[in-house]
Amino acid sequence: MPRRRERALMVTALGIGLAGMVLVAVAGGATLEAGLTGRPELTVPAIALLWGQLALAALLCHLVLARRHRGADQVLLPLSLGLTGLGVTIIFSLAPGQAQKQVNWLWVSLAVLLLTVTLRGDIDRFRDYRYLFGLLTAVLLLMTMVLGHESHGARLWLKLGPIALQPGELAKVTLVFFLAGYLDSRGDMLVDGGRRVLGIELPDPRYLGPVVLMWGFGMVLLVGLRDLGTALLFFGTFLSMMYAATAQAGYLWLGGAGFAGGLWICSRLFHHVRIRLDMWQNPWPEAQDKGYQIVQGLFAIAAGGVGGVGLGLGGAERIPAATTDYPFAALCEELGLWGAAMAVALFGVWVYRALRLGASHPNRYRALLSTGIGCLMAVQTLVILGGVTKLIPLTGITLPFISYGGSSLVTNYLLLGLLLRCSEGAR
Amino acid sequence: MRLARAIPRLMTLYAAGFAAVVVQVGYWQLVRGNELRANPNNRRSVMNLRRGRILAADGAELAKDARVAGDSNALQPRYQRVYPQGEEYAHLTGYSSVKYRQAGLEAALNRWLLGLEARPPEPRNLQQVLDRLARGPVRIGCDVTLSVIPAVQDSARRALDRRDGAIVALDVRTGAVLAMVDWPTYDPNRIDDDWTRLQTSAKPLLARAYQEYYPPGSVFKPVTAATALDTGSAAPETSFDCQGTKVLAHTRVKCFNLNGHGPLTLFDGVAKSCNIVLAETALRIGPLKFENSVAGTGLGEAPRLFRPGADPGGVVKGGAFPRGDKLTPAELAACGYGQGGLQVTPLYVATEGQMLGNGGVAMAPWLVSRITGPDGAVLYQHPAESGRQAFSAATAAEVLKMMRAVMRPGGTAAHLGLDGVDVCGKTGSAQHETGKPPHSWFLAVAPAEAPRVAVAAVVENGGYGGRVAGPAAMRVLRVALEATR
Repeated sequence: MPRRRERALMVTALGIGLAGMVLVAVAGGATLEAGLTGRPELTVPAIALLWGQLALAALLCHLVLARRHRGADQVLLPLSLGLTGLGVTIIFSLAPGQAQKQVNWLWVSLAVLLLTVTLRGDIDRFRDYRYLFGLLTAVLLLMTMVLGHESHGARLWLKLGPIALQPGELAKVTLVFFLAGYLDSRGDMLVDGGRRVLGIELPDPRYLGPVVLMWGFGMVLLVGLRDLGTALLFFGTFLSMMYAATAQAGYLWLGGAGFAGGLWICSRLFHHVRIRLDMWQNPWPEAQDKGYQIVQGLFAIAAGGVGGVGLGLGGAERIPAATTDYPFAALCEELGLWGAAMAVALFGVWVYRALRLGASHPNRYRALLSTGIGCLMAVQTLVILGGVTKLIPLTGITLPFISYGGSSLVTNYLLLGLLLRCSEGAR
Repeated sequence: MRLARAIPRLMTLYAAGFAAVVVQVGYWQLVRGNELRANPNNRRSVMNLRRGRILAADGAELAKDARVAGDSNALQPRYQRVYPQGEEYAHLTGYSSVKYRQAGLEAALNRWLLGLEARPPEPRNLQQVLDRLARGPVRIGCDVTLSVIPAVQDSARRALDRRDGAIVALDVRTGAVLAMVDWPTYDPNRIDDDWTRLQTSAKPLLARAYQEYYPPGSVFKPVTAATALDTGSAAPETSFDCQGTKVLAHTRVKCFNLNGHGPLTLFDGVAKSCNIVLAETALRIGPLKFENSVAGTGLGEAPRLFRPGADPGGVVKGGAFPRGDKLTPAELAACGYGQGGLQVTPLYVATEGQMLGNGGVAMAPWLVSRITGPDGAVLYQHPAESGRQAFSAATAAEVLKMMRAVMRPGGTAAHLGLDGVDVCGKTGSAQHETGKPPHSWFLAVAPAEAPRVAVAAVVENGGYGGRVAGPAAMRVLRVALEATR
């Protein structure tokens, strides 16, 4: 049977998930019968059901991949499922009632993944629609800006009847398609302009347009969506890909400085941006008010120590938006420094696999696509982890695979599917 | 190919970012961990750590942590604070609540009670070694032993008898608090439930003994007399004349004895509590010397009652009085007999008796005699302190003689006394609001020949000092003298 490595890794990932859920349940006072603890989610049958779904889903994906895509990357799927298992465990610990919902979303996500990898046709065809993707990205984000439903000071949600969707999540995918297509067709022209300014070989102004446009777009995002996180994520991904395609470090410095400058101006103009920056610099005087979330998050991290207090034994549920924005703080508390380092390492390996594909793939379009997905994942992870640990200003974006939330989970598995698809035919 | 060249560098950049996140997590957990765990906004410290106990001088438990009832979580027990003595010691211990954090001693000694100032116990067996490797050192709170003697505290509670006011008893030789009660108070066991009910104008959360200001009235007269003797402005036999009222510094000063005491000395002026004598004495002293001398008694400083560490725990300054330009001759005259802009805490009045009984040496009052670590090691022991010479020994002895005369025939508290003990006392009936009875004060120091105990009592709107606060102070004094024998 092919894909033996994936199978072995999958068993490990599922084992970690099972151990985690059992530990949470035991810590919460799990019993064999329901009703004893007053928390029906915390019974052995309930956990078995939860984990059983996870295992079944994993097996299904593995079988499909083994049949249809023998050459695809064997590490990424177990890695993603392991992170999801860890996420479900943390959600289970923070809010037991949300765990089953997250597993429901996992089913949807895996359906999307399977659809992505089994659909016939050539992914390279998407290159021709690059400007359509660019337009789509703009439309999705502008739609949120205009029709979005505001919550927690940011406008990210689009309400369609009972369902609330985050179009921004889908926009991440279209952005990667746009950038990959654009850089594949125009990448060389961005380099061969001849004139050097500030260490960058400036291209012909005709080709520089999109760069400036993208910067402006990032600023519009910041103002219109009131969302520093989304702006940082899109702009960071854009800069990373520019650098990857041109190998000109100047783009990173110039772009970074441009974003910082824009951020500074925004902080002068907009109250909510300034509060974000103030709470980053010194949240302690406002620990009961504006700085409550970040301070409580730091308390959770500090409570963990080296070994953690143990799964299910933390007190991170008092952090606002714990399951969506702050699962990492809960992870630090319950699993300690070792657990946090392991989780970060898993993300590191995920990004490494994606970027390695980008560096080695003979097909330039697929290489750029893989690179884009890897960059997106890296930037998103770093933005939220840096925010939670107070390395950078806090922005409320999700931690891939771990955070509670349907739009985010489905998007991450869609990106995984695309990556698996790209990995075929790699060296 | 450019991708192959740029991607390894990009990967290095990301790896640096991931590493920075892990280092930062380690920074919060290992470098700043203890500080964050002790942060008053961190409710974990209240829930998951066993706080140390607060004990009375005889070892009686005043505050302890008990497992939350019905908590099935065996791995990480949760605790709640229990105060076995209820409201009697509320203003000594303060409270520690999940909702409302800490106050009073619980706040001032939070780091000790959480065990953050003690070295964690060494692991003794394999299980403990493994636990320590997995979770870091186990923190167990330190026990805090107070100087308060339950018998004296009980007598003070009964003596105050649910009247608004406060009683403070100090050890004259060391400044140790032997008892401290006030009313109204609250039950620290029920702080979470009662919180909104406690936000009334009666202010039950306010520790009147060390957080409320009252005009002292005549209990302040010994300080004026001592200042006069120390500065040489007057002698005990300096004579005055009281005709009931007198215009001093363009203001009419009234004596409570409207018929007038007639001709009398400074000595008699204190014994009979004559306002006119002490007003004139203060004018003789002059504003500069008066201000310096009163400041020397520690009136303008907040005593560090809960001494270890720097947290004052809500203890306010001993008092306030007009200073500099505000101390006009009229104000000076009024302050001389304890009125005007003069405001003091009951704790300050007890300290006044303490310094007069201790040869003029003021010992800053203190409450914490010992802190012991979880392994029984003594981490803090109240040190022998040298105090501050507020008045000369000779002056203090002279003023004590005047206060002794207060309790003798002709004095304002001749009806009070203890069998077999010579008591020095001073009555006070402090005017505070027209139309209301005065606050009733009494200050007692005993035994006269070698004082051991000073007791200050105040009953709000109680009326005449010798009638209301006096008997209460004497009850406490009797028990305190027995307890310190």
